[in-house]
Amino acid sequence: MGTDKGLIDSLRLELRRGTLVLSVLSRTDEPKYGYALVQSLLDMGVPIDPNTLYPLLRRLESQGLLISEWETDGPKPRKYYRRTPFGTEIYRELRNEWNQMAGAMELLMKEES
Amino acid sequence: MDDKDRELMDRYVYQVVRRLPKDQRDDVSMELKELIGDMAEEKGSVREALVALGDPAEFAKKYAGESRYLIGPLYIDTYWKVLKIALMCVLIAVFSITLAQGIIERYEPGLFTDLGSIIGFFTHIFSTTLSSTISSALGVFATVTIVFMVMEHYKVDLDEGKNVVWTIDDLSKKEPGSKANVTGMSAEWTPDRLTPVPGKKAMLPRGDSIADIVFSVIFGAILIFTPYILGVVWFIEDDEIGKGVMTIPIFNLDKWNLILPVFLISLLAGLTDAILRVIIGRYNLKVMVSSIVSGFIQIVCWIIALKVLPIWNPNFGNELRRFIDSEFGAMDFATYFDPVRFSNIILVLAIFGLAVEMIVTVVRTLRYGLDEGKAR
Repeated sequence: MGTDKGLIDSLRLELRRGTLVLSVLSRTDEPKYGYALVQSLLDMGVPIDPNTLYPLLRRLESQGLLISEWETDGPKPRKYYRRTPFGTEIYRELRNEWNQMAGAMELLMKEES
Repeated sequence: MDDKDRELMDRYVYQVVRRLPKDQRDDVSMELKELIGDMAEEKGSVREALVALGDPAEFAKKYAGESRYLIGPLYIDTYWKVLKIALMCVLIAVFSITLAQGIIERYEPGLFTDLGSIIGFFTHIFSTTLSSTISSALGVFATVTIVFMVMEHYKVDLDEGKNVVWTIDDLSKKEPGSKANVTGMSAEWTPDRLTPVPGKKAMLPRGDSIADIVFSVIFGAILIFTPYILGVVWFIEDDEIGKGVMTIPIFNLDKWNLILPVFLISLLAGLTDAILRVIIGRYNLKVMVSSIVSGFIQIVCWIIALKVLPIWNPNFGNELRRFIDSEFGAMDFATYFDPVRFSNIILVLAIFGLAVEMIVTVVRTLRYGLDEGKAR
């Protein structure tokens, strides 16, 4: 049973991994700081660990999809991330890809059941 | 957030950023403080926030991403292949040399008459052989691993040919679709790239090359560590000198510091060629070029060693004659040693052998090895 649990977990992780980039890009048309992003994704039913999200944000920034800015006016400094035009372009493509895939998957699994 | 919380947070942040590259540390540490602050507000305490974030080492790994590989997927196949060949060669070489050395150092006539000294003899040989085999295995393992770690760290591009020995490794991974790397065509893959499956005649017998490698390593190790055993070796039992092993070295050990490098260059050329053959596994342009270059280097080395350097032990003839006289009585006819003629004979044999190998490689490459990329 232990291995089944582990297997399910690792398969679930694999399945989710690809969707995370899309999730983050979908929420960053307006500048957002890291933890607000965690919350807003959670509210939409997409839980993401901060220790996955923060490194992911940096990666997306290094790939040119996001841009960040430190906001030091408030009571504590916050780093805001937002999509670049390139990020928006990529996001649209990924979204189309996702829609197609989701449609196809639905069809596949409808036949199954 | 009080001082205690701040201290706890600083400790956590430090444990994460100390594992990251220097240029990221400041930014990540600000980012983490922001995160921990936000989480603490939501969860009620810094402690709770840190528990939710989990092991800082794991967190740092996620920041570091793929650069956490010691040897990543790009190199791992080549790593195993090189490690296996290197281990096999060195182990066979070290094993046989230490075995031979142990026997020569410890053996004396009459040894096998009493059980105690037989056991002592074998225990000694067994322990020295075992210990040097193990330590050289560890050495090989460490060396190969470190080389690949460095390659991983700097992401050495196997296609670019920055390093002669390692470039070719990549071929074996991509063969038979490697034409693109050789000629530098566009990166786009098309089915035209598919090369014919190499026929049996185009394959290089791997066993031959491995035998070459093992031989080169053994011979190289003998030349470096025990050149004196190359020559006439016999066991003596003499009242004045005592019992033991006597040798008449055939090489001029007084000038060994001149002679050894030439031998080693030659062996290294042959070794590089053999390793390349094992890794590529078939006749192709690279194998042909390597074979010609290595062949010429070896021929030049042989000529230098045999015609320029004072390679032979100048006393070999005299000592041999004295030895044979003392052992078997005078036999003048058998003891004539003419270094010049001896050199010439060896030179002719060596050049002949190398030339045959080069010609075979060139002919086979031209006949079977150049059909990569052509649809036949």
